Amino acid sequence: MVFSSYVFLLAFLPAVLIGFYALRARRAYHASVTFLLAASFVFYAYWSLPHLAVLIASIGANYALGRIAAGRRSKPVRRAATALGIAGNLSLIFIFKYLDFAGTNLAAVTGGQWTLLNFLLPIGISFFTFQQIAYLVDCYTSGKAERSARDYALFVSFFPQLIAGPIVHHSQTRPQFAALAKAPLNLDMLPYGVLIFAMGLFKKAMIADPIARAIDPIYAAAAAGDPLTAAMVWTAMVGYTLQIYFDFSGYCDMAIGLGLMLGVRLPVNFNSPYKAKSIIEFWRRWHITLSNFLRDYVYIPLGGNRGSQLFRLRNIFLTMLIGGIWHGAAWTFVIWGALHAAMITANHALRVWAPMLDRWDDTATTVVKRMGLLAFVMLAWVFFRADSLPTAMSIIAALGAAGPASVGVEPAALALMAVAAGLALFAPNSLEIAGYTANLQRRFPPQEKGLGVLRPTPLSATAAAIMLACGIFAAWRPAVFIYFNF
Amino acid sequence: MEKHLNPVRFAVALIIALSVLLCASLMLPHDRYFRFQTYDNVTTRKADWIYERLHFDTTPVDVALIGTSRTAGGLSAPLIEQTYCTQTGRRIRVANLGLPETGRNLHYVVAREAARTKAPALTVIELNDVETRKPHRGFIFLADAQDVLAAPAAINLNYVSDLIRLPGRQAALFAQTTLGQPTLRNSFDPNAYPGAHMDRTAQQISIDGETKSRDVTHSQAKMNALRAKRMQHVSPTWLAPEPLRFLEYRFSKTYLNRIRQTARGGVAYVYIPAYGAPAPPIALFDALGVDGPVIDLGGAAALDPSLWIDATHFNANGARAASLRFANELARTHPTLGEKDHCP
Repeated sequence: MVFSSYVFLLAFLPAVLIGFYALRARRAYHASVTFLLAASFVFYAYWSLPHLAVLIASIGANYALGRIAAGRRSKPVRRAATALGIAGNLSLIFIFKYLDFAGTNLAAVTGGQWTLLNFLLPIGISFFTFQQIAYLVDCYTSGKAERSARDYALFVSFFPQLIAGPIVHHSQTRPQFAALAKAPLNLDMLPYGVLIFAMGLFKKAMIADPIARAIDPIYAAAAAGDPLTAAMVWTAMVGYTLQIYFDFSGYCDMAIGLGLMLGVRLPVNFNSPYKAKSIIEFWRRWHITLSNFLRDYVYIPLGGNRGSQLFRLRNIFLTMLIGGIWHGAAWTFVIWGALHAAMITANHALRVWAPMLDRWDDTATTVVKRMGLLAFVMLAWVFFRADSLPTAMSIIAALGAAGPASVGVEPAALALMAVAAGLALFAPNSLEIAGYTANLQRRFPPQEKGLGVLRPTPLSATAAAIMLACGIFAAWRPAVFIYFNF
Repeated sequence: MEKHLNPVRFAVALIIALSVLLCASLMLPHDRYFRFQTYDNVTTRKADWIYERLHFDTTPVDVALIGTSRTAGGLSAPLIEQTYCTQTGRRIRVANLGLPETGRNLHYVVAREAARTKAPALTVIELNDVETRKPHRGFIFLADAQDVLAAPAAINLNYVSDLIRLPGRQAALFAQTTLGQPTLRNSFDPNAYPGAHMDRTAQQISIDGETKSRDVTHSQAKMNALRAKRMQHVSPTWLAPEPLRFLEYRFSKTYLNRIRQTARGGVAYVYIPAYGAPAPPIALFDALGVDGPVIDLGGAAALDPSLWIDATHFNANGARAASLRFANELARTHPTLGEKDHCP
């Protein structure tokens, strides 16, 4: 059930909101949390009932292992439970996502044969397994585990973040689910949730998807081996850079908006990454929760910044490479990850060995840095988008190709891309407009002046209605979110 | 400073504004020619030709054939014209307006389009050995907004889904009409128009342009196997208990009534069988309110494996035989159609 589909917008979401608030109106707080869990399972089962069984089994196993990992047993037992859980989660994701890729490549190297298993990937597996790995490690280190099986299941399967993140830390949701089960929620969050959700839907339906429809034929032509001109591939490259930005940004807004509608503040996952001045900053703004996960559960276990600078840079490179492979089982993702790993490693090396260059940030230098970063990110997206390495290489090769100046897309699509670029590069993002914070120590909606300009007024209600209507119109030609594939 | 709304008032304002916008979208104008061109949710493209035949081609339509792929691939309009003329000495113009897949609501859309533009002297409606209880999935693509709103809500499995998709369709067509769409023709192009006939009895052309001959025959064993496989998916004629049977085909009956009311000329029926179903199901026809002459193309043809491409469609030979039989029967029952002229 895609957030931008009719069934979600016009059936599932209204039903969940009505059911949830009806229960809360009767002060059935516990029941309302249980209702959310049931709704999340229905949401997941809509894709595949057998995969719901996989999800539930995964939740059950991790919950049990988490209790052992945090329990009073001996340290070796707790460590074994944690290791078993991590291995189990990684095995699950490996079997469903990487086994065919590994087998095929191993067979190619050894000259053997590999019969494709073609397992259907349980949607969201990369997210819910990573979330549970983090949980197990935290259980082991902190000695605290979730007692309530229901709240644990909801922490993993909460439908606003189940399919494509954000990757939520247990400490972020635990107090919120506990509060939901005990007391009335802050209803003031509801209009903000609707507004942020509407902005996300608008980004997806009216910016990302139309750009995708405009540039997909160029990528299809590249995949088919048709001749490409420089103008076409530059358009496709810029177009995809904007498409994935608004697709993921839209999704993240919708996830946060849905969370707010249900009284839960989810972590910020996207913060105007194309405004970054360096690749390090880019990864602090793009898929923030994945970056944090990789830092806490890959980079630090690899040794982090303990040891020599070279050792640290090696750890950074490996962490980013793993981050690239996490996105998909294909050489295009390996190359994409390696490119980003190389760039971020170089950026860290620069900070160590030529700190002056890194700190040089007058206006002209900042512009050059931003443009350079964007050029790199755009180039790397080619590998992310292309369906194979030869396709990616044919696009790269055509960047300087001679040929007619025709860009291969309609003027309206070009105009949309220009507006989208302006928004991505210069406009405040939707969470800034709303003054959103995931920090539970701070109040939301913001009371302080200067924090966000969005307020629940007749005008903003009308704007939300227009954006929602646009989303409903666009569902006539539905498209899935890019990150749903991971 | 604008007044802040409490959450309940905000929700009410939002719902009102959203409802107004969605309702207003139903009134968005668009080019109906675009609408018929954008119907691509099928295996073979024909809706755009139907629109062009009815709206842009000045050739009259004396006989409009309304039905499914059984009509589209089973009745040759040129052969019917020729045979009819040979029999009666009268020149008629036949338009085969059959579209793949079943659902009487789409038949109504096509028949009404024909009635409004060409006022055929005779509208011939296809009947089969089984009648679907489901609406046509192409209805939301081709019907006017008023048709979707005025569809029978009860016993209509697609009513809600069609209704919620309608604003999106209207907005998309409005945008295409306003901004243009490179894959659609803004105006009628005689060079791209296939002509007054789109005869798919000899070959079928898929939506991506692939051509497949229909001159295919199967052994009796293969045909029996195909029929057995088909029958596994065919439900009994009556699923509802006796007191509720009047509801079972009410959807089809409603639209057949609407076709009869819209038709400016006469209405007739043609029974196009499936392989192994030689006799028309009279009880089913009664339930559908079939009240006119039925041209029966069943009988021995339905049992002859050499005439079938699959369990429900005539092959090229079968279509030829069916067309001849149809034309002869038409000449017998409706001998005064068209006008005296040289035969084609």
